[in-house]
Amino acid sequence: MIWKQVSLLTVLLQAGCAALEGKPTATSPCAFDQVWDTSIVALAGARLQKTDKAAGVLETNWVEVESATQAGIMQRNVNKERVRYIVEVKREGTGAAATVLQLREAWSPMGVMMNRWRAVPGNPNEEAAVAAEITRRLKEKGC
Amino acid sequence: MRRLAIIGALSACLLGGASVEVMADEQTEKALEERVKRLEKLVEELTKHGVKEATEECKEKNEKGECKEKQEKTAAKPLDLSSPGGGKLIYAKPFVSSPKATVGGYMDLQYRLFNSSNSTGVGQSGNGQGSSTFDQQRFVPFFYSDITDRIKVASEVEIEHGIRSKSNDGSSIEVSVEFATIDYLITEPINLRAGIILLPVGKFNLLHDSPLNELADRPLVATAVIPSTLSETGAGFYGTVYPSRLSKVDYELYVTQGFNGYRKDRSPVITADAGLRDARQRVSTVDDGLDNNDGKAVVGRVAFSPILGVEVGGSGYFGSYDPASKRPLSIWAADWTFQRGPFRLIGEAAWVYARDNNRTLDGGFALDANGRPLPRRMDGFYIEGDYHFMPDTLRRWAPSHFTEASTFTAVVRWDEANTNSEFADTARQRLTLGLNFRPISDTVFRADYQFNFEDGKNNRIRNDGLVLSVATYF
Repeated sequence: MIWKQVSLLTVLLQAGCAALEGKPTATSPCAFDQVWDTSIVALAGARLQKTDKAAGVLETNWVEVESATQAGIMQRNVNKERVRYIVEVKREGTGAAATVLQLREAWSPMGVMMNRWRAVPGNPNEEAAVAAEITRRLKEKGC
Repeated sequence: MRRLAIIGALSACLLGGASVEVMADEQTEKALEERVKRLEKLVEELTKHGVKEATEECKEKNEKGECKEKQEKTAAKPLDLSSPGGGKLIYAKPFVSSPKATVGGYMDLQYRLFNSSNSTGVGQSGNGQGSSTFDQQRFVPFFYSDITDRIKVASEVEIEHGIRSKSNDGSSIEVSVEFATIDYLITEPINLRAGIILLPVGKFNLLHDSPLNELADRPLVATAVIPSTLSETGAGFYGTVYPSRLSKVDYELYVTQGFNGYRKDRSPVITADAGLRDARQRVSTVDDGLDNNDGKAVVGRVAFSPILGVEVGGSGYFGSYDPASKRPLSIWAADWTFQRGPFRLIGEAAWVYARDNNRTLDGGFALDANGRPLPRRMDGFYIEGDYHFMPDTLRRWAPSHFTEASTFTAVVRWDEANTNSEFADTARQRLTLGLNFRPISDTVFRADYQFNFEDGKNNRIRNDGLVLSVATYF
């Protein structure tokens, strides 16, 4: 019984470490260092919370953005949303690739929802926009 | 401040200069006029520069909200409080005038039709006679205030069956503060919360608002075993940590007042009929809402979400319920949420142990009206499957009613609860099928049909019923 519980917990923990498969990626023949630096520049506007160059992971702090939803039957603009970006830079042959993930949380002053931020799906268009910005900047560098 | 000083100094120079040159000739007057114009231009430029500087500063700091607030404050006209008789003083109340306060609420209405002659549903307040009724069950105003970036106040006032001015026994109707908390935000992983706290026992109690639920009636386990809405006065900590890239751990841990298991005449209130409901602090008639003993309760919940759409939670409550604080009461609960695309599977299980509740405070046997010992153990669970959908034909047919934000949900839920687990005939089961429509996410029209199985497994009595309801946040 205990082994079943341990294996279930292990599976759940591994799910949390899953790769960012299917997420927008900026692939470039540029060297890893150039892609890494460009990714940092592309995330300007959000404060970086984690920069682990050895692991190739960049993480920003939460940044409040406009909410896509309105609150209640009167559709008031009192809801909040915040986003956090994770960019994973990996070596690919002589070049490198930067994969972008957006984590998003929502908050509303409506009833029990006022007690906590809750996770909602990230915006794929905004993820793609960050990946496109990295690509654009790398192209400007001529590689 | 510096800008004001400069403008003030320039104005003083201007006025001073004017008084000296009153007697001057026409040429001097012309020169003076030019000088005034130059000074006016200078003041205008300084003002413009100040606004530009503030805007750039905001942009740099990426503090959109703060900038907006500052601009709103600058643009806002001062309140005219010169005529108190005109009723304008009301607008000076912080909850109306402050953009940091939000007033809202939710309400519901149900029509209940049951095939029993004297009940409108298991776990519902008896209406005496008949099996069909309208019920405006909950009207709940709430208030939220951002006092500062770190201090928040959140509260909800619940008015149940508010059409009455008095309840059946002649006492006042149920109006109570469901939660009222002062939060001091320290950092994401640890924050302080104090006040009347919604207890983190199971997930349903934390998300019990009518418009959030896909079915009108709450799960049996969340009414009989965990007596939602369960809140107590106390204080503690809550927070969120992100152990890996996609995972999230939420926790809450509080010290609170605890259950009160006895009336003033020392008769017990934890029974198989009521479960723990009458032992809650909010309905206790002893000590005016203050504690009945010196013991305090500890309650907490940890929820782990490995990826978006998956969450498992575990919670526990430990306190004492008797005046001498010698009889412990514990609740353990597990909850789960799995969501993928239009499918969602949620549920909760709970176990209660109230030591020695089958004994009176004097040590004798405590029996109910059927001669059965009062419950020491209770348990129950529910599991609910939801499927969200929206037919394209409806969107094409009436696009203003069936928008991108609209959705239908088909629901099926199985409930089980036993409020005296040592006996089989106190078990109840319920199967509910439901279909609801949300024109927007915060408003729901629901049609539910319940198959109720009462009086245990050996002698099931069906008390099926239809519940039509509407609920909305406003």
